[in-house]
Amino acid sequence: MISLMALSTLVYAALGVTVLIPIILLAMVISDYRKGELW
Amino acid sequence: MLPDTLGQLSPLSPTLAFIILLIFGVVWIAFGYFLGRKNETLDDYMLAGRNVGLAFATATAMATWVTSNTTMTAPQLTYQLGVWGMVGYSLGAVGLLLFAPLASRIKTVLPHGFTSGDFIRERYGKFAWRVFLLISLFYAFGWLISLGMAGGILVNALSGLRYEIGMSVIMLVCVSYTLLGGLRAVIATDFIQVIIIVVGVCIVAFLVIDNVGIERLYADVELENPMLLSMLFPAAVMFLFNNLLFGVGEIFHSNVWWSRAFAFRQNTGARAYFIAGLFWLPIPIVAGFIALAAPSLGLNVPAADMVGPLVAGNILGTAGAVIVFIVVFSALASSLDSLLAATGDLITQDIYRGHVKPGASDAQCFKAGRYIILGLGLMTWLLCLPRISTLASLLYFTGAFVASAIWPIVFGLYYRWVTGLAASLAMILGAGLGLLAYFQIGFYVAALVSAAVSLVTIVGVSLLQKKQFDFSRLSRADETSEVAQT
Repeated sequence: MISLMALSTLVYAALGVTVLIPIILLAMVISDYRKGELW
Repeated sequence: MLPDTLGQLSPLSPTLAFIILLIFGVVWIAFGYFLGRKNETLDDYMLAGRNVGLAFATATAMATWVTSNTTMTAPQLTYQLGVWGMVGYSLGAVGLLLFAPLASRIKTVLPHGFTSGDFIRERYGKFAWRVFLLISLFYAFGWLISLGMAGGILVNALSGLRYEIGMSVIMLVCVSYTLLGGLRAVIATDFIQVIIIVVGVCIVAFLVIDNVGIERLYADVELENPMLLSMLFPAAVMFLFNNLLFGVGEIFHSNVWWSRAFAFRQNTGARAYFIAGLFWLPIPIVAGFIALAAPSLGLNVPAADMVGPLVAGNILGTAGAVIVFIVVFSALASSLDSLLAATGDLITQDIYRGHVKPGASDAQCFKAGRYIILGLGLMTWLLCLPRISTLASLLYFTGAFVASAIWPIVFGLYYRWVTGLAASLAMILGAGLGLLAYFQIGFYVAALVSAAVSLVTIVGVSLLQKKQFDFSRLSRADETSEVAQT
């Protein structure tokens, strides 16, 4: 059986990465746009 | 199948749902029209100019793989199979990660290619190409119909809006902006849709943690259904492997992913698919774990596939229902548009130019491509109207077909010793015996049997034939076809 600690770590780690996704994607778009590599 | 009356449980009214669909629909279609004005050539329309940058490439790969299944089935599987359900679902990311090196190889061996069919035809010959087209089109239609039906069913379940209305509006919106803007519109909307999806699932997850808490959630599940916390849940472990193989088969063979490999800028495909896989990995866990809050909230769940919306609706009320609705609509649209565009490309390039009108120019294909997307949308809508089968059975049925194409794709891209006959037999025998296993044993072994039979066949027959393929033939054919088309 998965422990409370393991479940918490799994959920918080997944949530932590997921929260960063929109920020990273927007940063990538800005970077591509500045380099003229959007399309 | 979800009961028709399930929408009555939702705090979201049919009128509000219709207004949301209308607002998003108008925005997506206007966006598609705006982007479509820049499309002047077939490359622009089918492959967004073959120069898509890393940000859009990553977002479109990720958005296409986040379907309504990811946002709705992840909580369902967690509710039914526990921790392994959400972890198993998240392993769907392996397909994207493994496709990363293939995307780079595809762009290298066939830089001017349009579809996965182009590669199979040049690499294995016409017979294997036709077998592959049957598999690919069967899968594409299965996925299109299941997505169209899922749209109507989910809108009905989330708001009470009639199935026919919800399904028709979603189909109309996706077909319209794909038709007007081609792959460029699909990719741009995918970027916005993936941000909406990620923000939406994060809001719901945060509020579940804030309102229930992991400790209470864990204690209540341990008390009411401890099997969900077990790491040795046999059905869940079996699901994990089948899902992994099914996902790999879906991505490796489907033109949805090949057309993106052709569309991405040079040296971008591998990085884009790898980052998309890493980003996709945690989403089913974030979307899925909220189902474990159902016991703590004292929820009576009438259908397991509605556990996600019920938890969100219970904690956030109408606001939660609206968030889930927008997330599900975005997830549906981001996959449906990609599938419409990629299947349209496959029919245009491999059926129209390959069979109906050999030697058709790019301009003729550009024109035909629009009619084909329109026809595809119309046919899908007609097939979805009677609500023939359930979403899950349609999708799992295709598992036997797609898994049979894994080895012909992988070996064909890298090894010289694989022959056309071996690839054809591998796909035919793999799909056939996989289907037999589906009916005789169960859905969970179809992809496994198909991939195993395909592997043995392709290696065995190729070794017996002892032929060596010359990879320079691919680039020569690629250059010839480019000259002929222009």
